[in-house]
Amino acid sequence: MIKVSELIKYYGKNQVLKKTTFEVKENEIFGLLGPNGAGKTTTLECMEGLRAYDKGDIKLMGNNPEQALKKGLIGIQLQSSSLPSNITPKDAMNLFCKWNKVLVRYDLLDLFGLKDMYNKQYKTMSTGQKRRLHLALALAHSPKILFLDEPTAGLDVEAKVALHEEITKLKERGVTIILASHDMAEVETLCDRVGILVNGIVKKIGTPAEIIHEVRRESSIKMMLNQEISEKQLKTLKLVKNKNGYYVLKTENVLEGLEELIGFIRKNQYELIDLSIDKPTLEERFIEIAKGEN
Amino acid sequence: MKGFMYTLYLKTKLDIKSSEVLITYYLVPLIFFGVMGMVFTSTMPEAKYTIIGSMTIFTITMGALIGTPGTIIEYFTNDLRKSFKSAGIPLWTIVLSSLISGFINLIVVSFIIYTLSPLLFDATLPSNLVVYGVGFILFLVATLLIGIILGLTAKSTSKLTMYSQIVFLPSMLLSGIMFPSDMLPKPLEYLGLILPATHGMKILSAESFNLENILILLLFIVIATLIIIFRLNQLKYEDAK
Repeated sequence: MIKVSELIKYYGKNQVLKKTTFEVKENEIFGLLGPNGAGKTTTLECMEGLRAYDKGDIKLMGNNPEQALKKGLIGIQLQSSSLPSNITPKDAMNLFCKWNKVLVRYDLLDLFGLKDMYNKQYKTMSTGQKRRLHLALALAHSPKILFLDEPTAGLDVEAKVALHEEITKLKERGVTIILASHDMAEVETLCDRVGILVNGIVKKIGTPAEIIHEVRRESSIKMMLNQEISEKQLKTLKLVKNKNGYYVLKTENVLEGLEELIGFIRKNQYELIDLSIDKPTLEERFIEIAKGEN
Repeated sequence: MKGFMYTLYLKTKLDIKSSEVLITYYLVPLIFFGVMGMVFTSTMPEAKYTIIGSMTIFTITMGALIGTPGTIIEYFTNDLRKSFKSAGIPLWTIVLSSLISGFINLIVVSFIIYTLSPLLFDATLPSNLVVYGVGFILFLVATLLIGIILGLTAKSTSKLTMYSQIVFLPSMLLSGIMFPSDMLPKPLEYLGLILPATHGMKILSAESFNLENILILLLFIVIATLIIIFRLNQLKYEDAK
């Protein structure tokens, strides 16, 4: 579907992309993760046909990025986009649809919660509303591939959740999505596969679960009970009591650990006051990879 | 074509709604016309022969050099350029739409001046409407193109104000619209020759075709068009770099 091969890009003497290589499968949400300056936006802009690259190859459904852009195969939501300050969402949708030779898609404005803002001036819209407008515009011509660069940056929690729902729906409608983000939780929730880009090199590709699995630490189950557990029972269950009064079990198998603890609580008829599980996260593995730890 | 026609319609609509356009294309020129028309015709009775020409030159210079660049600069910020490119909207369509929108607005206000001048100040209408019309259109296009260059070149609104004033003020003082340019010291008179307003004023106050000034305005149009094409290509290259 999408193939990026050995992409090289210089800004002056600074090499930003160093043989960046990855593939995106049809109808998946592919997350491009990386620290600031890793080359995420540059990679996306090269793929979108907005930026020239020095070497390498990009194929989007068999087309180079410029062809894909001209054929309307791709939709783009840029990291920082803008529109004329006094344009309205209705006018913007008309403009984008006329240039893409498609029927006007006001339904997209409704879909993204802009139903009451058809005639509101762009300059008076909130960051979230603008982001949703740009997403609606990016989808106006029903692209097969959608690029999202930091789609939820600057959004409040409610707007973020709403946008996540829309992104998931787009995937259900058959759109292939490439998403660049700093937000690990977002990537973990939305993406089928993730590529971790560090200093212009894709260091790791896999599903979020596969990448998290590589974290070299055990999970912790923390619980608080209404009674003290005896020293003997602590040893038997391999539990440690921390200074906050929580009993902590470190385990590689969370399910087995939970079953054991719940069995113990039931058997002794204790009351469970609090329970939490601390599992390795994508963020931890991301930090390891960004630091250069394999 | 549909895309361009809608861009033109939208740009004209947004321009009309813009307070900046209202001020620079209409309010200031018409207030200036009212005040200066009274001053000129009462202090120099012979001004009634040139008042239409000089006020039209002022209006076009003000609108094209102060108003037009202001309506263009916003469209050429990095983020907006990228947004338009990502939607497949070519940048030249913004330039051409701005030119046509400015052309329409300035024709309207010039027409108001043309029709009101005889009523308010007993101004004499141009004896040769064809000469006047050709000179008017050439001057309008040349000045709008210079305004577009300013809008495409300035990196910020504050710099744009400075650049616009660099062209606007000499156009007011050296072109002959405030006082005859032959009253100026020779170096300033020669300096005035590099401004379209000077040649525009000569054509609009002439009774017959002044080929030399027409050719000079045509030259302004050709050079300004080439500069705009160069600048658009430069921006395209900078964006892709």
